[in-house]
Amino acid sequence: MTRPEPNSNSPGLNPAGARPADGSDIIAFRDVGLRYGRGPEILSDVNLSLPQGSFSFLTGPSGAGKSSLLKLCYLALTPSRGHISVFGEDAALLDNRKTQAVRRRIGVVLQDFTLIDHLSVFENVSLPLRVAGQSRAQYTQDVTELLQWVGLGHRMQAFPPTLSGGEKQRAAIARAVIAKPNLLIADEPTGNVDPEIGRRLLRLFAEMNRMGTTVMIATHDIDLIQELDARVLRIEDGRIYKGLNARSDFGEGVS
Amino acid sequence: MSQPLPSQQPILMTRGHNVRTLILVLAIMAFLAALALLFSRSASRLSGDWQAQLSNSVTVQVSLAPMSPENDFETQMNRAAQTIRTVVGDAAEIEVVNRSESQELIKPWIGNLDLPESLTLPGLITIQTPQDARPPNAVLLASQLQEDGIVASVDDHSRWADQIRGTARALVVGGAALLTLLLVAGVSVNLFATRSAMAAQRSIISVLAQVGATDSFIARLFVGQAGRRSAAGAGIGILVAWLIWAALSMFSAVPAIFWSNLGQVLNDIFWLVGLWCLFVLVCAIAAGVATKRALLRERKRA
Repeated sequence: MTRPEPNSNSPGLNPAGARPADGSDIIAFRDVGLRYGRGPEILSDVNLSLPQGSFSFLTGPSGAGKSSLLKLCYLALTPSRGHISVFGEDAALLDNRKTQAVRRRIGVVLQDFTLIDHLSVFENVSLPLRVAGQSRAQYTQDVTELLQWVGLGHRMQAFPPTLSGGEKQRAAIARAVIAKPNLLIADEPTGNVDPEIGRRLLRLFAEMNRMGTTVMIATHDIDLIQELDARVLRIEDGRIYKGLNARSDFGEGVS
Repeated sequence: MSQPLPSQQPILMTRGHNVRTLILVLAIMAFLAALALLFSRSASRLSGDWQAQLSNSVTVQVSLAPMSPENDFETQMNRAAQTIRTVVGDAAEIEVVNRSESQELIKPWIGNLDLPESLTLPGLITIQTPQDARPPNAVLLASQLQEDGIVASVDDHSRWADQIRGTARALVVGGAALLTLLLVAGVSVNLFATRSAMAAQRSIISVLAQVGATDSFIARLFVGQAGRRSAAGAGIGILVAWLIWAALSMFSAVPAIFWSNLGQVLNDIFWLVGLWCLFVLVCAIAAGVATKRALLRERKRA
């Protein structure tokens, strides 16, 4: 597995940037609405596309629906109306086997890490490969290298309850990227780490994007958004506002 | 790599006192199921033995004519025995029960009384054919005795054999019903345990689904867990039942019920291993069904 250089100072994005590499979208939402039970719609008429190889930030106030939108992206929720296509397939027509095959192409990092407490860091990170049917011999080297790269080489056999917040976050990110996903979705990935680690993780995402992975990061962190010249999707009152730019629209003083 | 990694860890949680309690409950159910099986097998075996003995024996009750020096007990009985011999052939063993033995036989009904010599008791003749020979034909025997002018009744014990067969069948059916009930209880316990385990490990299932595990993959984890749990519980219960049965076979006052030879021991071990496999299988299937249904419900909710 080729790892990005950890000390790189220029987290450049995929040269294709926000443009589709081959004209296809990794994810496309058409008139999507979402409500929980009989409650009000928390997402309304969402039309959105994530071009292949793009890097997007998703931002907006708390409770605006960022996490719900991400859950729709990785098929953890079903929309109340509208259509979602993932990797060119209509999400509504996917059976469990196909849905899970799609999920194996998506790396997810959530705010609460979702690490399994009774599994070591090594076992947590290797979980996607184990689920995909790889043997321990096949993935041991990859997992070990990745853990060393994210600075958890010495904590491979530690269990999540003994890790600091930053270590847990890095383990969660390592688990999300170990299977070399086509799409990486991260919900507040730097929320629990110090700025230096945050920048380091952002460089990892940027490097993955440069190698072809489509990346979507939900964050409140304006500093993080300003680090990259990426597309910004703003969600407010359940609607998406597109076309913002990280550097031009989120300059200093924007909160 | 500086040091070898420990072996692969199970994805689901495997420890906790609930697991031990569950194994104990399964062990108790398997123990009772094994005893039910052993009693059923024993009843079936005993009934088979008795029926084999009865089907190869016939009792002839001869109504004796008034005694005279020329026509005494022995003379009349020998004549009847000769007639019987012509029908059953030389291979059969014919035994004339003498008067004192006949008195012994009726003692349970009349007590220890000295019967007067003048009281006429029916003469008894038992016929025993070898196990591999055809049993005596009671109808033919009765007609031949009648033809020779001997008043006698022939009893081929079919009434007793039918009763024994019926009783044994009832015991076997009862044992099978008990066994089925215990298996159903085992299934119910596993369904409940699997649902509880899934509820307790909801966050793990969610992570597995997030990283692309199919329902079948997740179900396999729970089936494996239920299978190991049932294998341990049923193994302990059945082993204890086997040990108790073996001890009873050695020290019991009614050895006919228990094992009396190695063939019976091996035969019952085969059945107990079958019971263990059945127990593990139904418990694992129950866990699989519970998991699949719960996952389907969960997906519908999403």
